[in-house]
Amino acid sequence: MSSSSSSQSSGENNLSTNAKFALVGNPAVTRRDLYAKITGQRKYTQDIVPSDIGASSMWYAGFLVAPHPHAIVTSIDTSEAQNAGYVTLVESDLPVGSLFSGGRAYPPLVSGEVLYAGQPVAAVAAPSANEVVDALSKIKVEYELLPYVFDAQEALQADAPQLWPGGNVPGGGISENRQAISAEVNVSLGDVATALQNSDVVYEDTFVTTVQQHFEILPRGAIAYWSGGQLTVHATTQWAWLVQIILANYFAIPLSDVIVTTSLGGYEDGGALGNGLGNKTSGEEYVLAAVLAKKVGAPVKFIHTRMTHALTTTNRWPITAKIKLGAMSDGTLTAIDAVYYCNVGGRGGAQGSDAVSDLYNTYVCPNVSISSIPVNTNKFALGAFMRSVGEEQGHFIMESAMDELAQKLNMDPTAFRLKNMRTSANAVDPVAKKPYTTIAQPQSLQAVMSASNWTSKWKGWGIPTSVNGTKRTGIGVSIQNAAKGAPIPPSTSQVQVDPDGTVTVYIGLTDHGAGGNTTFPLIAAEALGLTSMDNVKLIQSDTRYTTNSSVTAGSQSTHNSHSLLYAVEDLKSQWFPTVAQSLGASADNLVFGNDTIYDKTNPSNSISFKNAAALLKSSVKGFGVWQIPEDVAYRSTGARIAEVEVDVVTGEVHVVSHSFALGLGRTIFYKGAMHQMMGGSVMGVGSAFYEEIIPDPSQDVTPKPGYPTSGSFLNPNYHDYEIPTIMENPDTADAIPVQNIDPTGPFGATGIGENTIIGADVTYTNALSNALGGYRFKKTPVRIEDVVAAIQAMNGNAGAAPSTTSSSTTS
Amino acid sequence: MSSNNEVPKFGLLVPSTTEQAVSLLTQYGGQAKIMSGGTDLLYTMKNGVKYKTPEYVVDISGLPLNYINYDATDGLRIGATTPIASIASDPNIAQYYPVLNQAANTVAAPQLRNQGTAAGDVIQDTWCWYLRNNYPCWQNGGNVCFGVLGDNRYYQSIFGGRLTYAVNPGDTPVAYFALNADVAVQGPGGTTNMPISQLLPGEAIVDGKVKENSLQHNEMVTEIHVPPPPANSKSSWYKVRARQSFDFALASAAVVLTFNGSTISHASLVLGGVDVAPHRATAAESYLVGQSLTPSTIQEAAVKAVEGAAPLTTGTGNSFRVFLTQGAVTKALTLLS
Amino acid sequence: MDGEDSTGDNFHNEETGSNPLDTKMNRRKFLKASAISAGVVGLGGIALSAGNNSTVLEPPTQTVPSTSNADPFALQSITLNINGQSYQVGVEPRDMLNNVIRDYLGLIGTKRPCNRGECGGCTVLIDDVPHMSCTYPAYRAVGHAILTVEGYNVDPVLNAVQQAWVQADSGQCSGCQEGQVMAATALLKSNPNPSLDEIKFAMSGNICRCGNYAGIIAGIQLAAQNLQGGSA
Repeated sequence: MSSSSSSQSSGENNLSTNAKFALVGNPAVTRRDLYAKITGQRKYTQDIVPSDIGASSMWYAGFLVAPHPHAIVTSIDTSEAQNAGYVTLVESDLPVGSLFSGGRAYPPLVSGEVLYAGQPVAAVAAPSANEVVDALSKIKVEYELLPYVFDAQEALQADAPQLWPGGNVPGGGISENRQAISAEVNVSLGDVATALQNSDVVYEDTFVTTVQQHFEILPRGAIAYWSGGQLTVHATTQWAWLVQIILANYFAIPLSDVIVTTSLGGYEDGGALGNGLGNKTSGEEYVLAAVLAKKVGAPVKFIHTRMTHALTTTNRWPITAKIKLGAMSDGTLTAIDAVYYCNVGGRGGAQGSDAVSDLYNTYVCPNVSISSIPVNTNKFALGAFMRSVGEEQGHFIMESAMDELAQKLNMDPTAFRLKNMRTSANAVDPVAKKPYTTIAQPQSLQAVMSASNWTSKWKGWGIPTSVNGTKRTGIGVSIQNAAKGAPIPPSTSQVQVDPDGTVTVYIGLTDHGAGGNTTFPLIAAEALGLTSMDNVKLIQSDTRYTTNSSVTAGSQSTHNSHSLLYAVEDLKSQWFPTVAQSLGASADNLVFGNDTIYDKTNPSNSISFKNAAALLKSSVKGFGVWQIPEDVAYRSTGARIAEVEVDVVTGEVHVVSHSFALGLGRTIFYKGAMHQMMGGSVMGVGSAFYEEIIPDPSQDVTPKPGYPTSGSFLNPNYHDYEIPTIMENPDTADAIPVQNIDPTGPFGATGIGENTIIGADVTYTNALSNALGGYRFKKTPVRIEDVVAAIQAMNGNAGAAPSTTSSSTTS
Repeated sequence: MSSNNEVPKFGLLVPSTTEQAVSLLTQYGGQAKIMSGGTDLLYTMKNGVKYKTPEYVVDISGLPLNYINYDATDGLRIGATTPIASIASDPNIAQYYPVLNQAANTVAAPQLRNQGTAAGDVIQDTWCWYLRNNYPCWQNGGNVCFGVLGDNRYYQSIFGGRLTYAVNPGDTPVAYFALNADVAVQGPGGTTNMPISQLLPGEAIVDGKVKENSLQHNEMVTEIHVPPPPANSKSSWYKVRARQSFDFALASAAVVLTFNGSTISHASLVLGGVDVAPHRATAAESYLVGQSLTPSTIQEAAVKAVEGAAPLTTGTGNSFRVFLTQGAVTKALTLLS
Repeated sequence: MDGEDSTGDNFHNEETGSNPLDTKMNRRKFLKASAISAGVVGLGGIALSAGNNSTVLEPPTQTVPSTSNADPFALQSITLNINGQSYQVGVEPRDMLNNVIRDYLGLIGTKRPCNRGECGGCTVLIDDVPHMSCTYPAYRAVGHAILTVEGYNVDPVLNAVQQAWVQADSGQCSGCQEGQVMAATALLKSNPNPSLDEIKFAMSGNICRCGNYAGIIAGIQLAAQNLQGGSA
């Protein structure tokens, strides 16, 4: 179905295989915890009140941030706040220890040197939420300002401000899939120099992406309290066990003395984070809340304000890319030569490998040379885990450049991609030499070409699909091949059956919006042969009651819940002998199905699930561990086509249509998967046209003590960091699941999550380019002033062949 | 840029008459401010903008100033505390003052229109992000306009400034300018009526403070009066913005044209979001008189509308808004053609 | 629930006696009372006669703010009508409706996503008109009917929206959905059969970071259909 709002449609080529499932892929399954949430019966971290944790009162915390991008803290005076009865913290009050958040080790409060505007300098606790602002206003901090550097290439110069001893290039770090990477990534295949020389067409250009943020709807936060020597933290975290390790290390206490949870101990209540998008793994708030709680002697609630949330968060770090592509006149891609300068902010670690691997995986190309260099700058806090780490940026660069190359070849952009994309015929990572678990090319591109009616709409490079008065509509395409869905160990879970037939699923994962709270019980119910989830309960994301099931991030929680199937197998081994005795059958022949357990050699010999449970003398619990295969490449593949309308008098843009096909393996929670796909397309509108963290560029102004200076963020809020509203929703959207089975996922599923945003922005900017005479956008976001520049360039070149300002050459 | 996001402590003063409101303002000197809807003032206070944060708030929401009265001979009278949403949905305004109806419907977002008020939209502070982030600019106790030197893409004038270059952000004030509205200002000495252009001069120095409106610390707007629409007149509005909700105008145009047949006999054309106050495009107005609306006269009027534009070339620069201003004028005029 | 057996003593600061915090005791007592009230409300659901459970230790000086008040900063006792129930609560002038209904009354169904009037996630209805509760002074709400998502069993339109939301999968992370549901409820109360453009216009003050606008539109259309069919 496709309607004036948005909907899913067509391309469900493999859905017939769902016929044997009751719940998997069933469009009738609804989101289990939605009604509870929207009637106020489910508590998010910010909703926790003292009685929820058995307390009679709690204190409230906040922190003071540095309004300068690079400075030395020369003094902090907290005496006035203390004299007023508030509890304060500065770095010297803290135990020695640092945070892990995907970046360089750094204490949770500024230690001498401020490395980015918004870095926390001091924390306070007050007996009421209102008084936090009173307490903060009583702390006086003095700074000595230092020169700062925002640009990655400038930060590599010898005379640039040095943020870290040893220079501005962070040492080895870890990638999204937790593989150790060296600071610089260098990949080389074949002979690029010779290939470029022999190419018929060479395209060379520079692209720049921007700093973007999650701006998830509910900010990070934590409620911490101590009981005896034991610390309990209710945290907005996508990985309770990571926070547990950080806190145990920080306070030098055993893991068993640190409880971290997103749950209040009820069923399925540990999945209320208010989105995360990668931001809610770890942060200052957990540690500071715990230290303050100890100092105050009462529970401390620390919920970020919208501003401190934005100022201290991880970011989608920007890339400056120099890229050179070669091709033969028949359209064959022959060479990729690229350098990515990755600005990872004040305390970011090594980043960039995923953007690099996407480039040589998406297209089949024998000659490749790609380097990426992570660089610390004072521009923002740190570059690390934001939805599609490195890949949103990488795809913008890749798919803009490939479009330009296709234009130089005078090829239809879909034909160029069909000719050069990786397919099932060569589904192997050419560097890691690992086979893909699944690939959805070329079906994805073919599906969106069909859904969008591409062949009749595409009129050529720089020629709009339609012109209506001052409005021009263009069409654009992109393909995606991203390093996502790679499960991070461990994958563990448990499934319990009680004698009354109640099933309880225990899993360490949370749900920050992706629908895990439906997916997890759905997988267990399907494996148990149940046709409804009514009697399946969920306990989750609590270091006390569940085991570590890895991080709810990286598009992997569905994939990683594969262990549930192993838990059911373990459950069978405990339960089926009893059932076999009752049925007079062999336990080996028993299977679950249709709310019964039956003998597969004689299906009429069966017992209802409930009656089989009643045979149990006590509850049985199956333990599942999934050994994650490491000899395969977990890639996410798909394609998009979009139409964008622009008013050439006002510069206003609007996405008219969006067709998106993505390889999902087998879809588990159907409604949730479709809406995630559409949601990613909306986020892409923001990434393409609106979203950008903007530091103040004003220079040469004498600083006034106590006020912000040049280099501070101008838009740490929803007013100026512009998230798309419903007015910016694409008029029509097709979400097309390509269900090529992934044998490593539960029931053949693979991850969705962040894969739904990758490539959305470049599809829109390619379409806008098509509407505006082929003007190439070389930066994100394409804000209204950039659209105006394109319109003016087009008007200035009226009638002339589409051109760009690139330094392209033809040899 | 500040850490907190909560309203600092304030003392609440609730008058029962406008006279009492004014006497409270007088009594507390410069330490008290009027709060009508509160969407602007409370936001400013949450941001900790030093020179804009009062110690006392005089809440006038309970005063009998929530009304819209239309009379064919007297025109339109809108009470100070009338919600923007009421202006946006009033049938008489929709019929007789389309420009005001349309402008009111593009203010901020629905909930903010339900709370924000007629007078508040007129005298709200600039939304320049330097002021909102507590930079020490002219309006916040300093002596520099950061916008001139820094990121002036969205919030700085393209028609110059004096000390401060921050634009007047409102939408309805642009329509009021085009409709030649006047405002009633209550002060200690009683009520004064003044043209809206006198209330919003672009820059005023009151008690040594740089402000965008000319109100003394003990004055308040009580009513906006719009004369009856001229016979044979038509009006329209266009607002260019990035997102079609929440955002302020990057450029807007309010147009009131009086026709003699198809010939324009009088033109009122005011631009919003591009100058320190709503900007009357006099050259375009003169040009339009005697013309009829055709694509070429509209294009010429749009060019004339930005005569005298001096976009900033320091900092980021903001010349693209000259283009957007022409676009807003083109759209608004086209709506009447 | 884990921790239910605990008492406040677990968290008692033994140093309180010598702690400068004692100067804050009045404020703390007030908060404690609020917390107790919140606990009771939360436990029993919204149908409780919460007015009886809401005690405020701080002596109210007046019920209607006026200039005759000697101390304009003082805490005042006010009575709020929320979802048909009456609540008495002490507020400072700077307390926004959002703080009061969430922190003091425990009605946490209303969220606080931005607390700056920029996202719509805290939307409540005041006399059926949507407002951002984070930017609405609590004292102003006296005498008005406030509706929050917890009013599902007193307001059929609200509950029809909530049920349609599940069927249409209108929410993902749902941190904004409480506000979306209230804005949608206000729309359907004033316009039972809205067009697509009317839906978008009415919902344009509510940001959904998950980008689930397609689901939201479908949810409103379904709720409108169900309400007109009388099925709610």
